[in-house]
Amino acid sequence: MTSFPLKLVGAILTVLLLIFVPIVTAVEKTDIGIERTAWNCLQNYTDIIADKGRITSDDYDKFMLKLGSTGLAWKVTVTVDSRRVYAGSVLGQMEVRHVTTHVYKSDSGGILNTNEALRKGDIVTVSIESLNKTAGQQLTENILKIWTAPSEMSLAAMVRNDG
Amino acid sequence: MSRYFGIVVIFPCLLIIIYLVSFLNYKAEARREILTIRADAAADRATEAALIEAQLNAHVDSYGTTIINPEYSWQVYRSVFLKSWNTGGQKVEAMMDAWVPAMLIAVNDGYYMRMVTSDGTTYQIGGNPNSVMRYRFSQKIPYARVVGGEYVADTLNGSYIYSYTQGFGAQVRGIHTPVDDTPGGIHDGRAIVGELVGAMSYMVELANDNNNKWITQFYLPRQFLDDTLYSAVTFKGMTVMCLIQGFDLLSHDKLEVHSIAASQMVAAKQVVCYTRSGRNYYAYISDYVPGSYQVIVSSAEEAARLGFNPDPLYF
Repeated sequence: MTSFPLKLVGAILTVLLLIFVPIVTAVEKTDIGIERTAWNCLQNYTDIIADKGRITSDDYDKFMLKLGSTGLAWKVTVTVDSRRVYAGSVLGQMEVRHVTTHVYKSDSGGILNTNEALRKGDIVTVSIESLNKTAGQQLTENILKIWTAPSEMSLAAMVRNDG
Repeated sequence: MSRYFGIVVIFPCLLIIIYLVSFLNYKAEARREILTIRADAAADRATEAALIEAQLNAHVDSYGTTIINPEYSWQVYRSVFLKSWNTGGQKVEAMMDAWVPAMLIAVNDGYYMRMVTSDGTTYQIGGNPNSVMRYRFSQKIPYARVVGGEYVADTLNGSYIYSYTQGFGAQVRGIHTPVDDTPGGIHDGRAIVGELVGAMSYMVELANDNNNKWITQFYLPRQFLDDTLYSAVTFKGMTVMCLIQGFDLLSHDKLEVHSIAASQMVAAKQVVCYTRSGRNYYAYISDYVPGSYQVIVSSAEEAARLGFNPDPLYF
């Protein structure tokens, strides 16, 4: 009779070691992989826009497809700050400003039928935010009751060539 | 029986503890790694942006001197870096000012250093001096050396202007003289690069001298100096070197990244300047609907310096 609590503890430990621990390990490893994959997609897409100097629906669709391979749904925002050079207050001087001219959001249709030419010196920023939680985040929230923030990443670059 | 079972229970407990500790450590390492990758990418693109901005606003005056406004490059650097972290605002920008102890923009015939300076001394009630430290760019410093009693002003593209002293002044004696690129020779590429790397070290030293908190002291690794030295020797144009050290904005981990960007020539794009409705405008010649114009220049910056603004019809 006295060995019953110990047997119970033993059973719990067995479950933890044989089921829970391998699941958590696998899930967390997958989460890290998802983050890396999403980052690589983001970096490639930002560089494509900066190199080409153009925002096209074709490149956007390819980017969304690759991002979708992570298994998560993502909210994507592409912002363009155009470089404007104004005359200074004194002749011979000038003033450089960046003005936000385009904001494309995936939840408002994304980049459809677009072939927008950018100029060298414009700043393009691509931001992604996951709309649903990974398996690891769900486990953390449901079992440990700890809230986890959605994955969020941004990368900005200056356009290298005129589009 | 129960003693035997107790040992059996302790063993998996230990296993679980070891597992938890090592797994949490692994997770923290993975997190730190992705943040470093992101910081590196953000810094690289920010440095490149600073370089493109320097290229775009550079112009050559009537004496053949390359002139840029380095503050624009710094603003672009800061803006691009912070956009990569999806943050901004005056407070963060002020923090970022102190995170970049060394930034150097090298142009053809000299370089600009961003360094910490004292912004005058004010006196509080009670008479305690209180000076405000801030970072600002230096005037352009020429690549000047003394070779055989003469002052040599090197340029990055191999040609040089050399002169001899005459009283307090230096007189230009010749330009675009054939290059003698041997070490210690009249045009020594490594001497220029050595000077740039020395300037980077000096800026870090200066920042540390004005920073008493050991935890925020800056460190310029030897590897960066060597890598910079090695790669910078091949440069034939404008260069931006930057060291950033601070705390990232997400995990408050300390981050250290160093980046360098170099460029060649920029292709000119013709710009038309004209007056419409009593206002001075400019537009790229490829966009401009044929009409009367006052002057054609080779860049938007040149048009702006002549007092023309971007035409809202085309920009």
